[in-house]
Amino acid sequence: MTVTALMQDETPRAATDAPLLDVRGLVTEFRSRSATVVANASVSLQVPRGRTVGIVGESGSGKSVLCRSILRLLPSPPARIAGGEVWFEGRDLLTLGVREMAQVRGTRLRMIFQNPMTSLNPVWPIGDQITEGLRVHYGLSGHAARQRGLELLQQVGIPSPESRFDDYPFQWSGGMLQRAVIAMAMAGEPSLLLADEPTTALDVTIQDQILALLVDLQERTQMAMVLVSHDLAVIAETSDIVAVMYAGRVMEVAPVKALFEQPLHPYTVGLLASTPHAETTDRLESIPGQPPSLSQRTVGCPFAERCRFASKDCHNTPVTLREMVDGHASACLFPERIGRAGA
Amino acid sequence: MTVQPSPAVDEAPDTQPAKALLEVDDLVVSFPKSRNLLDLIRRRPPLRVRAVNSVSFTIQEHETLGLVGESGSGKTTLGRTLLRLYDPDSGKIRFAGQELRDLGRGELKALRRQMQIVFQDPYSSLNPRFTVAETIAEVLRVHDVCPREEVQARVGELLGLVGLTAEIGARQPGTLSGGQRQRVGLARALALKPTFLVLDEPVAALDVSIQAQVLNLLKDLRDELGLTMLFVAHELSVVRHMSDRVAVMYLGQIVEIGTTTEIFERPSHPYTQGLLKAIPRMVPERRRREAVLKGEVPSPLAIPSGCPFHPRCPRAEEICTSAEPRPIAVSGTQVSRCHFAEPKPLKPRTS
Amino acid sequence: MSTYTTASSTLLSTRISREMALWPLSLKIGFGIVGTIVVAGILAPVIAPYDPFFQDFTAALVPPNLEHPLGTDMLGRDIFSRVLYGIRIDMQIGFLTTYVPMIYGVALGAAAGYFGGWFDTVVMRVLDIAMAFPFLVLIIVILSILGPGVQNIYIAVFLVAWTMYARLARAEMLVERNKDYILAARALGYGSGRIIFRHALPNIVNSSIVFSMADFVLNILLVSGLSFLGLGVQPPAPEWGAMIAEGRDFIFQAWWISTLPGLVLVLAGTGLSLVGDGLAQRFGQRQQALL
Repeated sequence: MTVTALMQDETPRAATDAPLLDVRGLVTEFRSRSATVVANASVSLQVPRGRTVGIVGESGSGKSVLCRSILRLLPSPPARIAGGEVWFEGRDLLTLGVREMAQVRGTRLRMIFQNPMTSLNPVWPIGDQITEGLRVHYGLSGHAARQRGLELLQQVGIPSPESRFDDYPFQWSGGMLQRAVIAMAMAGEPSLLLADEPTTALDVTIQDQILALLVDLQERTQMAMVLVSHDLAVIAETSDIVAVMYAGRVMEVAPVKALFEQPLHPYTVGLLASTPHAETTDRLESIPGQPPSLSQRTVGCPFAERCRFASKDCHNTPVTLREMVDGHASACLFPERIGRAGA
Repeated sequence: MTVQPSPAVDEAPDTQPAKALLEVDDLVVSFPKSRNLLDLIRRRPPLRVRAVNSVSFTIQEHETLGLVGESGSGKTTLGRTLLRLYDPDSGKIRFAGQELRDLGRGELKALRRQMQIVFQDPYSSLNPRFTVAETIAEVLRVHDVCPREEVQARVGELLGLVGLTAEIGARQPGTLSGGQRQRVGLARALALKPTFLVLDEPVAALDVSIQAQVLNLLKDLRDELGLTMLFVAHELSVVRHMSDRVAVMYLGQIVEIGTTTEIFERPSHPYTQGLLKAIPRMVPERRRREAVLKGEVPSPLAIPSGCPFHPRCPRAEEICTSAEPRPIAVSGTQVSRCHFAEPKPLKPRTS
Repeated sequence: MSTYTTASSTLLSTRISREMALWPLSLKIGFGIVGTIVVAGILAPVIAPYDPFFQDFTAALVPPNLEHPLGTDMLGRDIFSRVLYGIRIDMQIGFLTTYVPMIYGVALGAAAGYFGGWFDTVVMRVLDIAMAFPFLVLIIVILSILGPGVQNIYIAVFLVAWTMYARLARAEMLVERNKDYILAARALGYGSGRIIFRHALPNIVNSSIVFSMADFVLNILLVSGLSFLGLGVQPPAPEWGAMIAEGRDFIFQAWWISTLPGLVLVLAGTGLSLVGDGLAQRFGQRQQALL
């Protein structure tokens, strides 16, 4: 199924029909001696050109594994992509050879990670790390690479980059390091940027800066972005489309307004109700129970145990993502039970 | 730095005569910075990093004070120093009238029964080798809380109090989820029936849905047991849910303190204002952002002169670089450390 | 519903067999070798075909055959029986010279790491002094003064062998003491002794245990070496090193007198090394699982 083009009221941009990234039925497993954990159980997701798709989920939802699977960054034992296709710019990434995949990762499809402290090599100067990609993938000479590197640092808001170009990571703060990481990612002129919890490890005011930077860069370069976060508020403010993941599956996909105003999955309802926000002090509605263990496969809906609308069928019938209303899909078997959501 | 009177305890428009359970006066806590060989050769005296730079406040009985701040604010150090896990350089800490710094080892141990702490990281705050029951039972035994035969029963009671079944007692922390471990940490802290609880980012490491469970539990327990709490967190939305009053820290100082409503609806310090504006809202509107506060949080090794916030402050003027602002009472209960403190109502949010 | 298992409610035998199923191959093999050797040593009086001291000149210098599986030495003693009894000597000395210093070494190091301050400084300086002397030279000097013999080996080793353990324990304690559960114990008013020994120690001994396996091997080699030099166990005790030394003069006519005990020594050392490697791996696995 495809999520058809969505429109924000303020910025009417036509998205071309073919999505930039089309994940179809991706299955990722982790095998160990004792068990097989299915981290992604048939995930399908589309990212239109120039848009931001936010993926929200808690730990164990499979959102990080999804990003890494798309980029094929998972170590092959114990991880294994057991099925599905990942179409990007006309090619199924899962069929590419090692060199070709490296080329894609180095340029068109980039990823930034959660912890800026560990994303950079501590014993190399930052400048070298930024220019390495330029030299490897674009064949730039040392001098030209340095120039471009300085430009990139400027773009991401590092003041006086010339004096800092040869600094080592330990000399910079978390926020500045994350900017450097973003600069490295932008060096490849990506058409899609995967950002896996890029601000979770940062302070609130720095998170604000980094999110501002990402949104700004995205609008200037018209690249698409996938932003993974456990924080619904971050997703709300940055994404056009939101995918909610739980227990390795996508439970709901919708344009952001629709998701907040009329969620069609009980898990989403629960998430919305249990997120504290600085506006109210009402008692939080918690979701009882715990996320399921991913090594045990359930037949029915993985959320059924914790769902207040669940019935017997929910435990027995397998669930898939189905389009309900235009652009809004849900994996719930009985979304009508939700009624009007109280947001 | 002269001692300023603690904010408006007496002038607070309370109906009952509230008793101050905890009084902190001009507290300073610093740590020596490790030196490298070159410094040793040059015989440079070790630099001290001031994590807590002259902090004063009070907490009333049965009140919850929220303590917020970003990294380097000193909030964690402050919370831990209250329990004398760190030794302050100077200043006073009075608990139920008793000056903590004067206490000897035996008296401190007795006092520990009244003040406890729950840590942030449920993964490292429990000894991985002990079972849950052993961890809690040890507390009861070391402090002779009840006769030996009753220990097992008490452990069961405590586990029930935090919403865990008794069979969890036989498990080791490694087999429990983050939320469960945090509950165990809470049970352990409550074993001694303390009157005062410091919560050091208790839900920061938990998933949102579990967070809500634990926060609700904390609220219930607090009401049931009449606890006084210091709730340290970096997430403002969480703090709002739990606190009666809130103190905002920056680089080791309390820059603003007031009731929760005042802080969240009419913040008077530019840092508080910036912090609140920077929190992403649960409103599905894509914001073209201009970052609210620019610049980095400076290192506690190099605290700026005058007002420590001036390099990042949108309202900074000449005086801010040279003179440290004194606490100004903006209202009966709201105090701010800014030369230009002025409560600014935040724009109401539409959903 | 959940995949969690309870820790203490299952039988000891089930828990042991479950634990052993998770052992890496090196640990299993090493344990097998060492286990066999130790059992053989314990059962020596039962298994050994001859008295290790019994001299039969009519059967001197006999190559390995059915009656004497490892041959006989120059005094007609059965080498197989001597090797078996030798297990007792070498294993015992190895064990004591390894684990006794480990006990007080780890205790000192952990305490020094926990308290810091002048106590730490003093311990570290003593440690530096002890480590400044080359171990072997020191032992030989001590033995020359005190005279050869097993007792004196113990004295010499106990004086210097603790240092590595102290270092390891101290280093781990420096990290451990800042962990939240230790802070929690302090907040709960527990005394330092309890915190160090009951809370921290079980979590920091792993590296010392792994090191002790290597140490064990080295200590056996040390004793054998000293005995070879005539400074250690004195004849006619059937210590492997001493046996190797005795066979020196006969190396061309009766190679088995030196070589076969030597091979057994190598086998024991290999077994212990494998146990050390395997333990390191297993501890690493357990660390991962606890996260």
